[in-house]
Amino acid sequence: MTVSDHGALTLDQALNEYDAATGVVDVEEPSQQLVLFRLAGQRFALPGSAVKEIISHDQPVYFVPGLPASTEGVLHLRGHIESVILPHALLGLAPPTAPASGMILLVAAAGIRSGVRIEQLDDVCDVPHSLLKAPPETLSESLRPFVSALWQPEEGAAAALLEPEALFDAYQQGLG
Amino acid sequence: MQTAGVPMVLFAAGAYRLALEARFVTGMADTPTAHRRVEASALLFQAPCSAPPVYWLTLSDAQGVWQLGVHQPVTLRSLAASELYPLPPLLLARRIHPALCGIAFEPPESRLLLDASKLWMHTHQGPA
Repeated sequence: MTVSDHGALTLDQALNEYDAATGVVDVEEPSQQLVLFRLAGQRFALPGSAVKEIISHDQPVYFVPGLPASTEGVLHLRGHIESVILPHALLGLAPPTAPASGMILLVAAAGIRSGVRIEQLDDVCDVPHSLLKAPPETLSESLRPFVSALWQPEEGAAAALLEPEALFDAYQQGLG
Repeated sequence: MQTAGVPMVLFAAGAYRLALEARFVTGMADTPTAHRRVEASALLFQAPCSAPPVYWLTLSDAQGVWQLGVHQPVTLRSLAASELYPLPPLLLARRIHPALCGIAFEPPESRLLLDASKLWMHTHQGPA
């Protein structure tokens, strides 16, 4: 590179110096889409591939008697009927004190589709696999069967990535 | 195109609205006469209703005739097949009573659909 007496570059020199590769993130790194949400104030995530739809909080849910308290009811969605469950008991979390008012995630896993009531939707984002860490030994016994990984974002508390297949399987087995 | 319908006996059990396929209901009386009888609320929800049944629907199975105590209104109506939905799998797995098999929507309310053939088999209850 030729530099003038004053240490400056010509425009042509500057443009020729541009390295197109500089600053490009490795987009090939495998990542996973996560739907981040809160339950009982704690941060959780579900794989984006399992969340088929995010349903507004004002979608009517019809109560069905003769079911455990962890069943909120059913919703009637475009000619289909979907169950809506409250995952708190299954995850060992305190039950919601107020009537359910958060959004509903329509989750499909293990050949089953169901609504899962959350308290707050935080984000939908792509997270590199390298940032997903194994659940720590200190994870509570109640969460351990359902958490496949932990993601610590740059800011805020870590989110526990839930396995929807394990959730639905346990629910069917009578847990929660 | 006309939608096929299913003749159903609609009734209440406490605060809940229910329906049974009409072909299983052979009669209705305002006093119980059968030895085997049970209130619908106690049978389905394990929660005896505060008010006694107003009517007794007569059904039969392999053991003979039995009666289901229900509340009014009791009506016979054909519900469109396209409006009847099977209970989703997670709820099927957790229902207290196996007769609870589906739901019909009558906005802003819903109506629970019962499989009459599984109603009595779940109870070991004696006469109400």
